[in-house]
Order: sequence, then C-alpha cells, then structure tokens
Amino acid sequence: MRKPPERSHRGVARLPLLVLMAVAGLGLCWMAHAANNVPGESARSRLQELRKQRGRQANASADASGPSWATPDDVNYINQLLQEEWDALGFAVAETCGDNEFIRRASLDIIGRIPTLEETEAFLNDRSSDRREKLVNRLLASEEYGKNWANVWTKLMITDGRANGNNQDINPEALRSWLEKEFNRNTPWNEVVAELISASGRWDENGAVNFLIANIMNGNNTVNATSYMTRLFLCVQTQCTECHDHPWNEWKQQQFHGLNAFFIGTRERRVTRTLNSGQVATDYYTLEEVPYSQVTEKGTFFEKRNGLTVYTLPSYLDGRDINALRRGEGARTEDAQVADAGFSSSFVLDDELETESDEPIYLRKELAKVITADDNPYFARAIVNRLWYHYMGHSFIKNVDDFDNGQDEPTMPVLLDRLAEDFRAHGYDVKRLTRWICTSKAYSLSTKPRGKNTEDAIGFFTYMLCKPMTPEQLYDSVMTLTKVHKTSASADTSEARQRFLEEFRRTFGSTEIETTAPKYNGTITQSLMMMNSPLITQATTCAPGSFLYELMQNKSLKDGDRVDAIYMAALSRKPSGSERKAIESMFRNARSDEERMWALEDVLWAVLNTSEFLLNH
Amino acid sequence: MKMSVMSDGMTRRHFVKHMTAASMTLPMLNWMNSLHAARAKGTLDKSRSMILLWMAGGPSTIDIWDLKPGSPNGGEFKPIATTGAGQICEHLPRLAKQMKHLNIIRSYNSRDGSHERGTYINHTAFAPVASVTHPAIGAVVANFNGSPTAEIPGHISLGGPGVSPGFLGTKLAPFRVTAGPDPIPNLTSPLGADRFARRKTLFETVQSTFVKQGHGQLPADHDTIYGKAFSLMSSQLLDAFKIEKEDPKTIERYGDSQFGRDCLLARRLVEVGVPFIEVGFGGWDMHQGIFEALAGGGGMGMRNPALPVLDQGFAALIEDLVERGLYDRTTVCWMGDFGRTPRINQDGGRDHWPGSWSVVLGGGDLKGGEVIGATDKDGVAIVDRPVEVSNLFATLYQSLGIQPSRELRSPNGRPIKLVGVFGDGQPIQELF
Repeated sequence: MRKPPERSHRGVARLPLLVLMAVAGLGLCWMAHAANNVPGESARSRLQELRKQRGRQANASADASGPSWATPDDVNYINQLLQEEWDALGFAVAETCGDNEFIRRASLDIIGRIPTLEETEAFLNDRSSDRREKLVNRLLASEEYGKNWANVWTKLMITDGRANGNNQDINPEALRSWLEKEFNRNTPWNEVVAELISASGRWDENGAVNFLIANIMNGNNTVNATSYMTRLFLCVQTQCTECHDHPWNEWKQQQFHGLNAFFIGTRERRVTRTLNSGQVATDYYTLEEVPYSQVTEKGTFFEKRNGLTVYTLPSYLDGRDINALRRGEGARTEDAQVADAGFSSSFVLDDELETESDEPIYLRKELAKVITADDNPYFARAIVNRLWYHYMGHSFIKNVDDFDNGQDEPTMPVLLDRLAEDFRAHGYDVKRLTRWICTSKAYSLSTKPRGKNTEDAIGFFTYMLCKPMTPEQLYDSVMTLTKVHKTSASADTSEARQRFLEEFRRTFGSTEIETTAPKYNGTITQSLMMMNSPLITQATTCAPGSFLYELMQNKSLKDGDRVDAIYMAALSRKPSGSERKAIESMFRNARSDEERMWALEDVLWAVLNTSEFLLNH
Repeated sequence: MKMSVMSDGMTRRHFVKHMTAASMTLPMLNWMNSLHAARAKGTLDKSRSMILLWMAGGPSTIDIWDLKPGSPNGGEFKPIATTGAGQICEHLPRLAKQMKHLNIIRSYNSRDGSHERGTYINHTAFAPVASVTHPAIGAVVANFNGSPTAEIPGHISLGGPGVSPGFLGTKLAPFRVTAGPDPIPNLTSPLGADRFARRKTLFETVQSTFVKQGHGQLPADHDTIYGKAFSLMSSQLLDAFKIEKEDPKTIERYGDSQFGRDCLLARRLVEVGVPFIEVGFGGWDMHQGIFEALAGGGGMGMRNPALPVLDQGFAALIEDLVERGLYDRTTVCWMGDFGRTPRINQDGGRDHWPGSWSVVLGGGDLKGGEVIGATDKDGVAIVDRPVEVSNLFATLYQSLGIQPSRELRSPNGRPIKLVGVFGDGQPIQELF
C-alpha cells in the first residue's frame, strides 16, 4: 500500500535519515514541553461527564429567560486553584478593587470603552451581592461586545497597523464586520476559526476570507498566513527562527512546510477595474481553492539549511499527513510520534486512499478540522490563554502566542488546562469563558500590588496590571465622555475616527503586536496630540450637544456638582479633597459665566490627560 | 495662531514663567555650557552626535560609490576623481569635493535582502527575532550621549523609518519631525498660555496622586513622557526646528528638496546638542529604469532623479558641518536597507543585494578620504577587507565615544552586545 513517490529530486535519496531525525526531534520536543497538554484518561471521562451536564444545562436554560452562556457554572475551582497557588508561592495578594474601578475596567475590556455617567451611577447604586456578575453579563449581551472584539481580532489578523490604514489589497472593514456578527452571535470558537481557515469567495461577500487574503502574498505565497494561523489559533510559533543553535530547528522547518502545504490548492485573485482616469484599481479580491485531486503537486518541496531539498505532503504539526488525517487518525501523543519515527508518512503518497472517496477533498477544510479538533492539545488552551491575557494583562506564559518555545512552562498549568477542558466541554462558548474569567478573583484585584517581588508575581495574577488603552478604546472613550461626536463641530465621525486612529498608529514607536506584560507605549508626539490637537480641543470645548454643554444647561447643578459629574464620567469617582481645593480656587477666580465654563473645560481637559483616564486600571 | 503664542516675546516669557519651573530650563542651559567647556578641554564624549542618512528602499551603491567601468554590470555612469582616495559617480560633483572628509566602505555585507529585515539589521545590528526587540542605534546613541534633562528628544527622525527603541523603552522612541512650516504638530495650546498653565496645574495634582498610589510602572512612564512633552513645549531651543531662520543662501545651498531641508534641520539640531538625527530619503527601490531614476534624462523625463538631490544635500551638510567646527563631534553615516544586484535585470533595474555593497561615513573621530575594502571587477564578491555589521556598528560607536564592547540587558536579563553578533565586533582601525 505504501510506496515511495515516483519522483526524483536532489537529496531525495537521503530523505529517510533526515526525516527520521526530524521526527525523533519532534518526539523529544513534545515530551519536553507538551507534558500534561493532552487530556489523560481521567480527563477524557471528565470531559464526557461535563458534556452530559452541558446538555442538561442547555435544556434547563431553554426555559430560563437569559442566554445559555449566562447560566451559572460550577467554576469555583478557578478561585480555589488561584488561592492554592498564591498560598504555595507566598506572594501577597492585592486587595479587591472598588466597584468604581471594576465597572471602568470591565467596560473597557469587554465593550472597549469607559462606562457612561449613567451606567456608572446605576452600577454604584446596585447593592446586590452578585452585581459584578450581572454587570459582566450585561456587557457581554451588549452589541458593543462584538464591536470591541472585532477590533481586537482584526488587528491581530491584519498586523503592522494595516488594519487602520488605506490599502487596496486588503479589506479589514469586511473582516471586522464579519467578526462583529460572529462575536455577537457567540458562534462557537471552533466554528469561527474553521471558517477563517477554510472560507472561499469574494472579500465583500464572505468577510472571513480577509484573514487569509491579508496574509497571502503574490497570489499563492502563504508563508505568512501559515505562521499567523498557528500563532493566533494555537499560540504556537512556527515561523523559521534565526536561532542557529536551536536543537529542533530542522524539525520546525519540516513542521512549517508540512502545514504550509495545506494551502497548495489555494490562491487569491485580484479582480481589477479601470477608473475614469485610466488607472487600474482593485475591484475586489477573491480566495479560491481547487479540490486536492486537481492539484498536480501533492505536496511541497523546501530547501533545508544544508542545501538539501525535501518533499512533504500536507501534514499537521504532530506528523499526521493528509492521508492519516483522512483515515481519521487521532492526535498523536509523543509516544506515537516516536514509534512512527521508523518510517515516515511525510513523503509517502497514498494514492489508493486518495481515490477511495468520491467527495472532493479541500485541503483547507481538512486543515480547519485538525486545528479545531477536540483532541488538538493547543486549540482550546490557546484561546483560553489569549482571553486571559486580554483581561489580566498577562497570559499563563511569557509571550501569549508562544507555547512550546522550549523556554517557559505555563505559570499555572492546572488552571489553564482545566479552563481549556471546560471550554471544550461547553461547546467552545467564548462568552461563557469570558464570564468565568471576568468573575474570577484574579480579575477583581486592585492594580496596587502588595509586598515585595511584584515583578516576579506577574504571571501569577496576584494583582491586576495597568493596561494602556488601545487607540480604538481611547477614541471611543473620549467620545463616550465628551459626546463631541454629537456636536455640530464634527462633520463625519467615522472619517474623524479613522484619522485619529491612523494618526495614533503613525505616532506609536512601533506597530508590533504586544504579547507580554503591558508597557506604556505613548510617545511625546501622542502626548502633544492628547493635549493640543484640534480633536481634543474640540472635545473639551463646551459646544451645543456636548457633555459639558449638557452640564452647563442644567441650571439645577452647582459648579461643584458639575465637577463631580466630570470626575464620575471620566474616572468613575468623585474628586479627592486636594483636587477639590485646587478646582475651587479655579472657580473662585472666575468672574463671569464664560469664565466658569472655561474652568469646567479646563477640569475636563486635565482629567482627560491623566494616567487615571488614559490607562485601564 | 498656532505658533504666534510662542514667537511673541511677551506672551512667551509669560508662558515660560507659568509653564516651567527653573528646573526645566536651567539643566539644559547648564548642559550646553558644559558642552562648550568640554569642547575646550577636549573631553567631548557626552556631546557627540550622529546623523544617519537613510536611503530607504536600498541604494544602488555600485552606481554611486563603487563603479565598475568595463564590466557588463557597470551600468551607464562614469567614475570621477574626488578629493579622497576613491572615485565616485560622475553625477556627484559636489560630493566629489567633500570626499576628503568621508570614507567609503566598499566591502559591507549586511546579510539580508528583505526591506523589513534589512532595515532592522542596519538599525540594530541584529536580525529580528520573536523573543526581543533590539533597540535602534538612534535609541542607543540617545541613551548614552543624551542628557536626561534635555528639552528636545535625543532621537529624532526626519522622514526616516523611525525604528523602534525596543527594550530601551518609549522615552527613547524616534521623535518624528518634518522640516517645513509646521515641524512639530500640536506643539502649542490653541487656548493660550494662561489657560494651559491652569490646566497643567490641575493635571499635575490629579496625576501625582495616582502615580503615588503605586499602580505599577505604567503611570510613572506616562508621567515621564508627559514631562518631556511639557518641557519641549516650553523649550527655548525650539528655534532649532525652524530652518526658515537660516540665511537664504544657506537654505539654497542645501537644495530645494525635502532631503536638503531635512539635512539642514539635522545640522541645526546637532548645533543644540541633539545626539541622534536620522534623515530619511526614499525611492531607492529601483527595480526598473534605474539609470533614469538615479540621474534623469534617457527620454524618460524623470522629474526628480535621486543623485542630484543627494549630491546637493549631502555635500552641503558635510561642508556646513566642517565650516562650523561641528564635524569633529558629529559622525555622519550614509546607508540603506541593502545594496542592489550587480547584474542589471531585464527591466533595466537592479534588485536587492545585501552581500557586497558600500556604506559611506565620516566625522567624529574618523579620518577622511579613505577607501576600505573592495569588490571584484564585476562588483559581486568581496575581495578585500570584508566588513561585517558588527564592524560598522563598532566603528560608529567608537567614533561617537561609546565603548563598542558595551552590552545592554534585555528585559529577560540576557546581555545584548551593542555591536550585534555578525562578525568579530572590532572597529575598523584604519579609520581612526
């Protein structure tokens, strides 16, 4: 049944040895770094048990009014595991943050903007014991949740600032609106990812194709698409490393090209139109795939560092090639990989199997299946790790998208695996996972660390990390606070937003995607923008329609009440004694209504520029 | 309105009085004075500057600094004699006169032919890796040669790629400026000095409370950057950014081009002690019609051929620095992403070629007029004195008074050599 391929190519004769070495390396690597990754027997049965439970819960929730993701789950183990870890390590744990901090933090993280004055006041007046959980549920049910997460993922999938730029070869807007819908529908994560990997069609008709279109170069060069796919959906970095002394470098190359070979039937096509000026412009792009049977070359050749050319079929990271996948072979554990090292399926083409089925095989569909499979040891852990990173400011590993780098193990592997397992068991329900994270003890901690070794404690979540706002969060928060978009001064708000984001992107020191603990990325240019730009000047001017104007028009308010309202809207708190003193002196010197209005503008400007406003804390 | 607040004498004094405690302006003035004192004593290390002329896209050095007449790769240009040891392109007559102040390295190998990675390597001395972002040379020079209390940022980018300060942090990020009517956007408050002062006072009250509460490093970093923005707004050195203050003859000398204006601005910034200025000059990615793109003519009607613009701006910069006595404390380096293929392609262009190309440098502690290394008669292989990335960086740092053997610490505690890992890290001794 198995026969060597009937093709001659330089270096092919030496293949078996190389592949043997490569696969042995793979085994070693997995043994060293993926221990505990694959659910064991007991974990599997637990998983089945959870699935049964979930069925019951779904039935129960059909009668209840709330959405199924909002039904309470038994996730006390999160706090228990955190507490056990904290006790064992002896790190001092920060105090619980105040409700005012919590609503600001949860709003920024879940819906991408600060809360409105009304939202803050309503929450602070709620004295029920489960008010934080109710708040998280309310935010998750908001349409703004999808908008925020579409922003987050569009920037992850279309990098280097291109998500906010002007480029006729990509269509971030179409991706954004597709994602927004999927997040708001709470489509199971495995289905979202499968679609992003396997979608075909025009970029305006199926928004999901835009992840691949943005990362495919010259029609069919999918090297970037492959490396982004593993980084984003598996948190594994497969791009060729420059590091010469990495013992598994050759394996990485093999692994990479095997994965990249799943794209051999795929290409993007640019359809152009001629403008009146005679210039040729992009009309649209379309992503197309031919069935595997129509692909002439069933795999790809790649050149090793030593000059040898090696052939590989489409194969997944654990060594299963397309034939093994079609046979339905499950995820390979490290033992199976070592056992497999005696022969290699990587360059054996199994033609018989190929013709067994009448249904056309689309490689990307096969790829999507194996990436999102229940037995994939990375898939669920990757999204758990990434959401945890988003909400906590740090993931379970140093770089959020770098499991299995041979250097660091997860800080809390048991918690990570348990969350991943539950996430799988609950049908890859992202809102539910978010609720678990945002109602955990770790998420509710203050940003003021206690005790020594606060640097070492990062990654053990003993205090919340301050996070800088993204340009999108900042812009939307400035709008929420000042309502400048409701004044006559703003002509085209979506264009103004785009300009602001573009300006911010340009003035950032770099456009890299952050993967580690948050850093302050602001530059002098940005500070000047926040202080003196026309947009911020307009936003802090008392013009009809604006927040300040509303305050000034409300004659039942005193100056002090107005200042309180600004503080509450911007910082979710009232001014402190010393702040009040400083502000009162400003008002004492005001000799006319106009000057009192100026004083109010100055207060708004001042709070808007502070760390307390500009950071998510 | 925008600049008038600052240019009006009365308003400005008022502004300065409100805006800046003496602590903000005095250290800079003291530092400037000590700079002059150091110059007198010959202990110049801290006051040394670097200007990087960055040819984005990858300049065709085989047509500029290392011509190959008689070879099929030679192209259309003839070499001319210079005041230095080497011959250069006939379309650089002004630079030919300045070559006694400049050195040509004709045997540079920067190893990577992609724009992104070439830009990274030639700014950081390292190849990009996932685990750490290395600081660009601008951030390193600003870190070692800048004053922490300087009112003007130490790492300035004039139309350059503005490479990240990496783990050295945002305080050393490239500050982007464009020579022209509004060099620094949003520099003044549109509401005037009085209201800005009042706003700033309240801002500081709220800000300091939050910073003192101890929410980690981010609020403090935010504070540092805002402090720098405030001191820039109130700086007495802002005239340095106004090239219109120059003698019209000087402006003319640099040429009517953005590159020329940026070169002039770079000189003005060196004068006030800015440690690192990068001048970006784009359009060198000449995959087709390269000779027209470089020198014009050829019936293509190229509007702005690159070489005359380069010749005028670069030559004026060197001449001006020398005349003003600034050259011995200013290291100038001309380079880009990589060189271009010796073979001329089917479109009459040249493609990416990192393996053997030329870099030009001078000033600071460097000699002038030297030629280092050589390529073969076709410009393909290096046949004499190979210069690796680390050798170039070591030479630049040595000339800037920064010990090339120094190391930085990456955030995860790994030592990071200033000169990178390509080559033996030794400076080019022949240039000192």
